[in-house]
Amino acid sequence: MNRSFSVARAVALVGALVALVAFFLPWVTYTQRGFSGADLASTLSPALAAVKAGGIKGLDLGLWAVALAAVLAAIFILASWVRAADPREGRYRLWAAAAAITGLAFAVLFLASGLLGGTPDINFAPAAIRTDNAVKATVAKAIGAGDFVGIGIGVYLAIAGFAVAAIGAILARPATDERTWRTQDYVLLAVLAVVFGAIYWAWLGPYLGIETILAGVSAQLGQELLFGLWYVSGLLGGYIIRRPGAAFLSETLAAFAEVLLGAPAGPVLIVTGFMQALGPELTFAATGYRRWGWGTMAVAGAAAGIVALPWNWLRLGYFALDPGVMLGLFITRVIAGTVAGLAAKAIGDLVAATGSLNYFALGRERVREV
Amino acid sequence: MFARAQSLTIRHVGRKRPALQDLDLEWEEGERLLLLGPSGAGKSTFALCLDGLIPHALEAHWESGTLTVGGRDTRSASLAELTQDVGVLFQDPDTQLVMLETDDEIAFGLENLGLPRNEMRKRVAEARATTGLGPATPRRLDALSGGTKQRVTLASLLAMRPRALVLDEPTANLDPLAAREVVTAFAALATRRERSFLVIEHRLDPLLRFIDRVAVLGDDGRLALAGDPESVFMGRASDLDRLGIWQPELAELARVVGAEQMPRDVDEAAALLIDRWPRGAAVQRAERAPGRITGAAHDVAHRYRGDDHDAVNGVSLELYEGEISAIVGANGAGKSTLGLLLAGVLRPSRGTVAASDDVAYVFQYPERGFLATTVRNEVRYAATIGRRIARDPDALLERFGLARLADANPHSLSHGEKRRLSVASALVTSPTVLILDEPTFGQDLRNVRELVTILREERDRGTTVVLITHDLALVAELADRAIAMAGGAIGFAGRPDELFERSDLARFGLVLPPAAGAFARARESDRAIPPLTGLGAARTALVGRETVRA
Amino acid sequence: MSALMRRDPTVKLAVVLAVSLLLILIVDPVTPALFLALAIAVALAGGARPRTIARALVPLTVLGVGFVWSNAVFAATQGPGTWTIGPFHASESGLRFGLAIAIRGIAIGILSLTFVWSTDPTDLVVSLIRHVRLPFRLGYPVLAAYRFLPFFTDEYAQVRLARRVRGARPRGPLDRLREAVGELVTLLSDATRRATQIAIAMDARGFASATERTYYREARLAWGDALFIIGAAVTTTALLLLSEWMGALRTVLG
Repeated sequence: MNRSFSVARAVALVGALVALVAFFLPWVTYTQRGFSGADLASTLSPALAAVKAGGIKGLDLGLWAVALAAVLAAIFILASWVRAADPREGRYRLWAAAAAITGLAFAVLFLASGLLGGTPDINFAPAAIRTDNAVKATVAKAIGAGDFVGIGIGVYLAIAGFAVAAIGAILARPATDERTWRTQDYVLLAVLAVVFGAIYWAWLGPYLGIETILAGVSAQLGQELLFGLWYVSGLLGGYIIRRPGAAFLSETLAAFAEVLLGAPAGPVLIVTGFMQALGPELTFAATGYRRWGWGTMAVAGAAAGIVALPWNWLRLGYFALDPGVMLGLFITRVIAGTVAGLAAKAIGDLVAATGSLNYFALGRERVREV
Repeated sequence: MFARAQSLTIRHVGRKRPALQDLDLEWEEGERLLLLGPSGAGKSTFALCLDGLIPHALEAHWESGTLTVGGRDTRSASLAELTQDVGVLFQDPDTQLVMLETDDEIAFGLENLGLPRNEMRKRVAEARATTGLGPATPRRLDALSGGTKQRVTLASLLAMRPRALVLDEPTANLDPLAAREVVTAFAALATRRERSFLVIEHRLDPLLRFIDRVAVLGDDGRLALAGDPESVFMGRASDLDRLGIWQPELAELARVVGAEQMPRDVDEAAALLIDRWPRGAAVQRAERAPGRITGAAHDVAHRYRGDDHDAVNGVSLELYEGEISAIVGANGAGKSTLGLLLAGVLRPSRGTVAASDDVAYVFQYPERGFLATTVRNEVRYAATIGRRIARDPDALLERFGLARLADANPHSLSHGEKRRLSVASALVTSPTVLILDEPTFGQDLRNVRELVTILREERDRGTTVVLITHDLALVAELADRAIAMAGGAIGFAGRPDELFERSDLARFGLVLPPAAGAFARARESDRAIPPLTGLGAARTALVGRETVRA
Repeated sequence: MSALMRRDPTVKLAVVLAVSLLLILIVDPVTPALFLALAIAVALAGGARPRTIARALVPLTVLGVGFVWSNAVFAATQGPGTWTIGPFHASESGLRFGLAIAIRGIAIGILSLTFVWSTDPTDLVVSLIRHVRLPFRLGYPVLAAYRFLPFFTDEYAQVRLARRVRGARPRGPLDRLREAVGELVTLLSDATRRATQIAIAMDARGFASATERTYYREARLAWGDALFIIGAAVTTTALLLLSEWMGALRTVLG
């Protein structure tokens, strides 16, 4: 088992380094020599000039924080590797994960600020959905000029790198830690995936119905709301089994089941599932797989949506949407995710009450003898 | 000695009472042992322990005692060793299959053993031959009948070449014809005596030839008695009755005619009847005048969405007040569909159904109908939606042995308990029409007797009772009318004894129950023997007559 | 058995995934349309019936329409060629982008379905276990669970039926929600019990303790697979070049 221990750590380390390098890729592309944040902002692109003018204060700090986070993550992973024999080496990995997640948060924030620019005028009335024209024009020019995308790729890679670092750090636990997975656990997750796949299929009709209705407002809105359903499967799996990797596996299996059942999105859905699985897994890991209350589940649900955002952004072309609308979608995503998390707990508890889960972690804590 | 249990006490997770209590049982090498006992927990638990599944794959509270199998203590041996030594065939043909195609399924265990491919191919062919799975067997598992599926699982176990084979009610979920398929396969193996066998079964008569010893567990999970088949079934019959355990019909038949030797198959029983049956003892047919009509179907057909054929086709039927009808037929003949149509729950694709609006339906899989979170609320459910309660719910729970479970969640009950709960819930409103789908599945003798009593009460009150069942013995005992279906259409409608006299029973997936079969076989040689349908009829016929005593 | 069905499933999966990911980077409507044509051609060549393909196109197209509308109206950039539809303003660039997303979705959908139609699930699992080192402890349970899909669908239908039979009639949306939850809980309760039974059936034949596992089915890579990969790469490049030549190609990279 020692081999995979190191593999996970190595992967985490690579992730952190990729984040470090990738974030500065665009700057490197444009052959900057000095790395003062303000300089970069004004020299690089007109869009970022708008940011400097009225956007995030302390842009410098933001930029450097990303680099710092990546470096810290790398250091902690190395520390955990060096001191693998220490029974509390998990601490180091937890710090590494925390650093990685912080870096991720900053990177996302930076990305968001680059797009939103000044204070957008968000008005959801259909006739008035516009934002500040100047910002729009500059962002458009930036897209056209390829600059923005140059930044975009760097930032996306950085985000990906941080995500990988966090996961690698968390999953690199020694196998002797927990009871090993039983066949029952795998079968349960597979069965959950298939059951939800069947439900998804049964509801596909109404889904398309909602989609077309909401297309009047926004097709993406319909999608966002229904993503919530897909989150429930993964969250439920994690909640029932309560082990590292359970939520992750559960959500990925749900996506795989949907592909096998002929879902329109194709094998790409597996990647989506993977992305949606990261949020809950990270949340549960952060609680040490010990806290399973309403709060944890709500956060896990919301996290599913948030962490998956960059991927879905790319896949569904959200980056071309009006920023006001994007914010609306983001909020919907967070709400749908939270509801999914709460729903998963409610359903899990009800099923546990029937005594069917007595052989699994969730059932064990509430066995009623008959 | 192949296996030995000493003071074994096992309690399942979520249960207060142990399934096995202080069990002392020995299973000799090469012995063919029959294990009997009340329905559910104890016997299957033992089967799971023999295989090492308890404790290695399934959690349970191992409260005391030891179990040694093949010289190994099951708690310390590895699951790999134990599963290789002992193969277990369970009762549900579908949940044991894990692959999609037949050969893959048979090879599954061999893959786990890490055998090279040519060795796997050899063993797969061997196993197929042993269980009679010829080249005509379909490849896809979902195209197989229940009996064939069980044979495939059996083949899969045999391919691993276990030293012993445990069969835990392998025919319980099958229709009689499919059950016969499986029993034939077992018989072939048992005669060859290549390994030790432990069989847990309710349908005992076909097995009598192939059993060396019988062990009986009591209600409390202890060993109640053991011995060779003859002394147990003939000598300890009253004990078995008291324990509420099913006995071989042929042994009972022998006792009814005053014989002391147990017939081991239908031929021996027929010879016994020819020898001892008082000619002229027969049963008078009590003709019942049909009451008013409480439900009707006129030329109905129904096709499920996505199917390419009708599940029910061109069926016309009337239901009468105060009559018990039984709908019989092979799995897939359309019995359950007809039941749902008569209940007014499914709408027919063609034809019309006039259903009473006071119909209670008991599902084949009872948990699908559960609506409440406690047993007590489940029985009282009808009251919560404003229906009138005709029978006392608590009294019903008591009668069905469910009173102590009143606060439990319905889903956490055992199969038998769930079934009884759903029947109780249906009876509580004393409905106009009561339709029961497989009510005696996996039930104890005691519970079936109770059910028969209650259904007779209902009939006398004027309820229309419709039984959808495979259990021909139940039909013989209880039904006023039998309706046999094949391929979605009704092939016969009339009295049960008329059905039993037909020569095309196989078409309906039916096989005469052992006692009726004995009478039928005896009649072939001597027409003076009446065509009685079962033990109930036999006892009635002999009332008032002196039985010939040796 | 068409040539497509004989190809190794992992290879097919990888190709579909690669092409899908590539398409995600493309933002003009013409290139995905070319790929869609290719996808339909491959599906037909692989043995799919035109009717099946047509039926699959329906939900995909509906989804696609939603995206077109959405992007047309809510695009971040209101470029030239703007026109008004009722209270909404649509832009040409938004429309083009929307079409791109929609058509690309349909193309990916058809590719994915072709994969599903031409692949045997057992072969897929065994192939993934052998080639991608998918843990068998995961692969087989998934296969077993997949077999139960029709059972769960049946059961779902029966559970809903059963409630009607017992006389449950929901009044209002709250009742309906409670009912839906009840149905789901019953379904899940049964599914989890079955899961335990399936696991036992697998472990009873040595699954849990299998260390050196062998495989009854072959999962060898043949020359045909290599040709398939090359063919896919060549066709993809050809389509991209065609689109470039037509002046239509636009990617996320500019």
